[in-house]
Amino acid sequence: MDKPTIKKVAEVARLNLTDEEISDFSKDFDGILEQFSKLHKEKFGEGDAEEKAAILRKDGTQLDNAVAEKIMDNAPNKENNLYKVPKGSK
Amino acid sequence: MKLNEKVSRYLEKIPKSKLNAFISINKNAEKDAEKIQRKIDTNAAGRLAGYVLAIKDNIAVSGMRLTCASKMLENYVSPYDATVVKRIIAEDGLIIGKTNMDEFACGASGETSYFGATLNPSDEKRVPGGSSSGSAAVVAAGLCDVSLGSDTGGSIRCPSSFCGVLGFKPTYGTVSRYGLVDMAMSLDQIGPITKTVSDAALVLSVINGSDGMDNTAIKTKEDYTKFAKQKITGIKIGVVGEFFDGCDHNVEKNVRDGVEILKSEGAKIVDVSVPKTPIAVPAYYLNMFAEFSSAMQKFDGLKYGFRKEGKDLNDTVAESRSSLGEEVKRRILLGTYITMKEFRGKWYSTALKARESIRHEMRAALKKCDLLAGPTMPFTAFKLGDKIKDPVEMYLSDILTVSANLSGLPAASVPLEVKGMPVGMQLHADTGSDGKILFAAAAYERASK
Repeated sequence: MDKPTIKKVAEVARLNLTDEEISDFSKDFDGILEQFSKLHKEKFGEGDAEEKAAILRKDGTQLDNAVAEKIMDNAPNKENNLYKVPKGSK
Repeated sequence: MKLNEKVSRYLEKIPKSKLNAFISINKNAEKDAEKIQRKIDTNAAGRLAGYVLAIKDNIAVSGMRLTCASKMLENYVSPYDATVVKRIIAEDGLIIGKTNMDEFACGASGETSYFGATLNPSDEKRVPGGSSSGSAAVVAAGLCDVSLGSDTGGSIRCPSSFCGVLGFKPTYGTVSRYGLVDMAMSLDQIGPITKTVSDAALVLSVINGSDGMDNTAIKTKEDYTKFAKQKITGIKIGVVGEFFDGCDHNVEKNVRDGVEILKSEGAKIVDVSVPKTPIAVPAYYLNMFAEFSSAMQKFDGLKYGFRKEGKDLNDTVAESRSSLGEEVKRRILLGTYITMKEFRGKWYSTALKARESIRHEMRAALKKCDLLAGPTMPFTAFKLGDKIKDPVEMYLSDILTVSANLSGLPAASVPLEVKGMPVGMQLHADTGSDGKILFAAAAYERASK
């Protein structure tokens, strides 16, 4: 996989990579995807799957203040019990 | 021995161990022991009273750290208990600590932890297997009675095989995943790691059953302890030829000897085939990468976890996520790549079809017999550092464990009586027939002792 593709994928994946990481992954990924391309030599039947919908829980809130407080205790930065985050980019 | 004495002995032994198998110790363990002992003394105790358990550090225990062996969650404290933990506590099980693991369960050797590798109790120069490395090591080394691990592609069974303990991955949907940090939601399942079959049956009996907090956990609660006592006369065991391809000679011999013991106990042995076994690894990894990269999006350094400030919001997220380890990043990148619009048809859609075809073959094989038998791992525990630099080789070591996850089937690694490094015999059953594995494992246990 070439470096520009890795850079593009990293952007989508929200990862800042160093130049060294980009060149290491670039080498790795060719080997991994080559190994996995075995799949393309296989024939799969008509009945073989498509993507399935996830089984989801019903929407709803369970408000427990004691838990909410513990959740906020894990915030890296907060103010008045709200998460404090940097400004969004344009 | 009173529970408080037992706990004190473990608490003395744990810091002396060089295995690096625990990440956190329950500071209230001695107090908890006294409380449970009082219940035992008044005959008011639950089914797990007297048991000391360790929990993999990707399962939430309220008030304790939940690190997933990552710098990202180094200081994260669980606000609530996972369903399995609630059930253990309700039956008076005592949690002594949280165990080391591969970072976010990404690894088959126990070496990718931010807190350093766990060592194999049978030989400290070797890996314990992963990703539930600590959970297998602590049971094998006698640092607790039983433990919980999680298994997405073999993460309970691989370390159990390498450390010589029993590791059980239940049928998908048997145990609630609520409070488990997900790796790949359609594959993850929590299960016990124990020294004996009766302990595995007991722990599974406590933790299984439907849960409103996990809509995939739909199975009615079952008592598995009855299975550990049944005879196996007449049970049909299919030995899968492909499971021995490329397997170490020593592992093959020990597993075939194990099957002979089951035969002498009354099982009928037949040969069966799962021809798609060679594509199990790509089918598994591609499915897992896709789900994993999506599951990891929540770690953004904003609401919890490690934060490194960047130029703006997006840069802060990307900088914070850079704290993740190499293998975690590799899987996030590959999962992102194979699900991008341009490449999804070639990779992810094919992987879904491959998954279905493997599930089909595994279940067809199980129509011909009650259990499938083979090795858990193609080899015994390798040396620390031997495979960590070669991701392809590391991924290929999962070839025999991933099919159970892709198919939703129950599977266990049963420790064999061997000379030298431990070897596990893997038994698969059809979905919902977890009990059959337990009674075959119990028959082996009785006959080999």
